[in-house]
Amino acid sequence: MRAGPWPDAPEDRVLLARVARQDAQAFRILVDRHLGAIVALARRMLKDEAEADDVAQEALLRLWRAGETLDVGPHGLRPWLRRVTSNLCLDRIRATRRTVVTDEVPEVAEPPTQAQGLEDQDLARRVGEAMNALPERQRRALTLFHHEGLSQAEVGEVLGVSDEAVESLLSRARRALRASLEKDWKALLQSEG
Amino acid sequence: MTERSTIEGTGVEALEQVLERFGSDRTRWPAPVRRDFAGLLTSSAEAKARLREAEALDRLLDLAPEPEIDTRALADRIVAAAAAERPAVAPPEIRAAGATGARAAATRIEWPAAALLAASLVLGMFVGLNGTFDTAVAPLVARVSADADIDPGQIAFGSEGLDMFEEDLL
Repeated sequence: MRAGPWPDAPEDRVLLARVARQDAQAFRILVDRHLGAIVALARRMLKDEAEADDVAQEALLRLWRAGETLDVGPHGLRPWLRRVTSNLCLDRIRATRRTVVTDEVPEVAEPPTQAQGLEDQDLARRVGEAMNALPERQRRALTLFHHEGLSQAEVGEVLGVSDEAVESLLSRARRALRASLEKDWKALLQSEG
Repeated sequence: MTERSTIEGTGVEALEQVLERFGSDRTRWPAPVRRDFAGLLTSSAEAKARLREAEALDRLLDLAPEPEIDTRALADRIVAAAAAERPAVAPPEIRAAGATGARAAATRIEWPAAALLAASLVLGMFVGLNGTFDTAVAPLVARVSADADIDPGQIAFGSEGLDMFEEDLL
């Protein structure tokens, strides 16, 4: 999970103070900065683009409406938005008792922003390919648990499966990635000494 | 984070299962699992090695690119929706105007009530000082008492009321 304070957290706090005073320009900057991530999360959870867009809109409008009462906590705005978004998605899933997932959201690789240099970009591409090679439910379980920080129970709710089934999906996904990325994680270990 | 698990045993093989299921971040492990493997991770070099491998794999997973989504139209929609909403915090001048307006409204409601209260007070004092009702009630009581041989107290309390009054006195 991408834990800890979000890199843009200090800048976000300055913008949040302006948003609290209903500064539309600051709000626009925050929307542009965080919308992609929360739309991606909502689409992973809901598998419905229009509904995911509505959830992302609601999450950001909550930020706008909160005004001076908003406290995003020590980790900054991004984790707060992720939590609001995943809660809104879970509410919708519970309301519709969505348990069957059949279609797939097209995932298009983007230039990685976290990887530095061509070598890291190449590594990120390999990781992306290895993830895409996983069966869909394994990939979704791993993405929701590892990248989005959902609990095992929440992943089970999203996928409509039991805790045990989530454990099984996570195990198989990690085992497969450990095998397909063996050269890479071993190289990473060696480089760290 | 996670609520429970079905891990059996506390050896290195069991640890490998834990790492496959929950990853290397021990804050994501169920509390009982964390407790069960704390000793092993402190004492066993093999267990520490498995944990380091899992950490390396997790760092790779963090590099996975996020899907590209064109959110420009949605961003426009969200900003427009925010602009259309009433501000969450009214600017100071609006808050001040609102407060003045509220006071004015309260004043508008209070004036007629105060005037009625004052008028009823003046009327009461006028009637009391003039003895208007004394002159009207006294002849009526005298006439009824004479006609029916009724105790004047019964005019006010009725027969039952008088009984109760008398019982209280006893």
